[in-house]
This record gives sequence, structure tokens and C-alpha cells, in this order.
Amino acid sequence: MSEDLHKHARRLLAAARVEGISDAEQAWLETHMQECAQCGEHASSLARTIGSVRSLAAPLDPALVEATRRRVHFRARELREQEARMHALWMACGLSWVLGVVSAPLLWWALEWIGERIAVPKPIWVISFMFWWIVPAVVAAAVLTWRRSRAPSVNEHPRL
Amino acid sequence: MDAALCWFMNSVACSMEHEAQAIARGLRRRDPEVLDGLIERYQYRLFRYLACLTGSRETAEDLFQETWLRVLERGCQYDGKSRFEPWLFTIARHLVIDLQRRRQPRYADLLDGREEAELPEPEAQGQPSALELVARREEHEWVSAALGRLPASYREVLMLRFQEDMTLEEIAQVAAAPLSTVKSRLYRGLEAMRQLLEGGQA
Repeated sequence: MSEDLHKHARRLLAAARVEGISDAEQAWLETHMQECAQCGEHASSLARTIGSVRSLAAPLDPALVEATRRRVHFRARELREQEARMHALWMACGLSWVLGVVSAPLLWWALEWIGERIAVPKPIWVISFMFWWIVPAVVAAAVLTWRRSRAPSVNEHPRL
Repeated sequence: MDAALCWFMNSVACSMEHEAQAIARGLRRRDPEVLDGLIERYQYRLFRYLACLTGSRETAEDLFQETWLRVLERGCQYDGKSRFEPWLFTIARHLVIDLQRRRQPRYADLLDGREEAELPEPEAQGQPSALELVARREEHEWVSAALGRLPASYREVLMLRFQEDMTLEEIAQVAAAPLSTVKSRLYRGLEAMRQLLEGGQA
């Protein structure tokens, strides 16, 4: 029997385990195996190898699982609380924006009036008006930055 | 008979889809009961995968905790359209790579297959044979040691294919590698492992 046939049979044996082979290839392989003890031994060797890989186990300490559960619960509670606070912050930002829109004409008139009374050039009080508009966003960004810098990272938690 | 088998397969697939969606909903809500259930169910498999990738029990224990925290934090990214296992193992794998990068930047790409060319040779005559090792250790430790001699990228695909029974597509997803690379790693890894085990027994 030619060496190529053995090589082909061994390729098929591995392929059958890795990705599957067609019925025709399976039939050819079975016929070949009946006649070839060498390839039969190779098939057994492959089966033993896969059996060994399958049999590997890594014993897990139940205390580790329990500690993981506690840590996950703690972090879940922390994230839920954080979400609730963020929700409140976004509500406040939204409300601030609505009030800003509603009060914009009044503020414009007020700044115009003050500008005329104290003889401030128009570009100055227009800039003041724009600055007033971005104040809520600046405050929200500052709060978020401050919160992020204070939030404990996952790695900082002590192992429970 | 075929119709019954088809019906059975469909109902299994349907039930798995419902299950994946239930997990996705639970993770979006950060439901502690769902997380408890997932930890209970996947604890051994995840730990075995981590231990296999890192080759260290202590590291695997640390990453085990980190993986579940990451699952909690990134739970909203799981859409429930595919099985949960590949998503879980992908998270674990990313944590292993991050750790490798922090600890040994020059070995950062171990899982990307850069060491694939360095397959171990079966032990030569004169060196302690695997038979002698078997005499000293239990078979399990011996197989672990043989697996540990393979490059991490080969260990990973062997574990995912033969322990987790993942499909080649799922393995490609977890390993972030093309299907052809996964197949090649499986063939080469399987043959290297066979030679290590059988060579030692000879």
C-alpha cells in the first residue's frame, strides 16, 4: 500500500475529529482501516489523545466561587446605585435645559437692558448671554469628571 | 424517524435561543439571580479554560473573579442572538491577554499565535520518558504538563474544541482568528499533543 494512502487516511482521521468528513470519505476510511493495522493504531492514538484532553479537570475551590458571588453582588449594587444617581443628574440637566430655553428671551432682554444702563458694548453682553447658556453643561461635565475620578475601579476592590 | 429527529433538534435549538435571550435580559437588568445561575453553571468550565490558558492556578483564580465582574459590567453588550459560552470565553480571553501585556509586554501576543513555530519535540531517548513521569505523577498531571508544553494558541483551540465542544465558527469568534487559522491550529495542536503523549508512552 502506498505511503500517500496512509497519509490521506491520517489526514481524514484528524479531519473527522476536527471538522467532520463526508460519507464517501468515511466509507473509504473504514475500508482502509480494515486492511491497515498501522492506521488503526494511529486512530486509537488519536482517540486516546482526545480522551486525555477531554478528561482534564481543574478543581475549583468553593470558597473562590462564594467570594466571586459576593464580589459580583457588591459590584451589581454599586452599579445600580450609580445608575440611579446618573439618572437623577440627567434629569436635572434636562430640566435645566428646558428652563434655559424658556428663560432665554427674558435673559436676553435683561442683559440688553443692563448693557444699555451701564453702557456696556453689545458684543460683551451677547458673550455674557452665551456664557450663561453653557454654565449648566460646564457644571454637569465638572460633576461627571469629579465622579469618574472618585469612582473605584474594579481592580481596586479588595478580594473578598 | 427523520421528522421526529428534526422536530427534536428544532425544539432544542429553540430552547437554546430562548435561554440565550433570557440570559441577555437578565444581564441587561444586572439581575443577581441570573448572575448567580451563570456562575453556578459555568464555574468549572470557565476556571478550566483560564487555568489552561494561563498555566497558573493562582492567576486563573484572579481572572475568574475579574471575568464575572466584567460580565456584570459589559452584560448589556450580550445580545442573546448567539450562545452565551463563546461570549463568556471571549471576555476571559481578553482578560488573559490584558494581564499578559501588563506582566510581560514582550509576550503579549502569545495567544495570537506568534509562538506557533515553536512546537515542542517529543522527548528524545535518554531523557526521562513520560512513562517514568507517569510513575511519579498521576495521569492527569502528566496530561496537563503535556498540554502545557504546547503554545497557548494551540492549547486554547484544543480546549474549546474537545472540552467545550464548540463549533469551529464559535472557536474562531472566541480566538478572534480566521476559520482557516483555527483549523490549522487544531490539526497541528492535536498532532503535537498526540506525539507528546504517545511519544512519552512508547
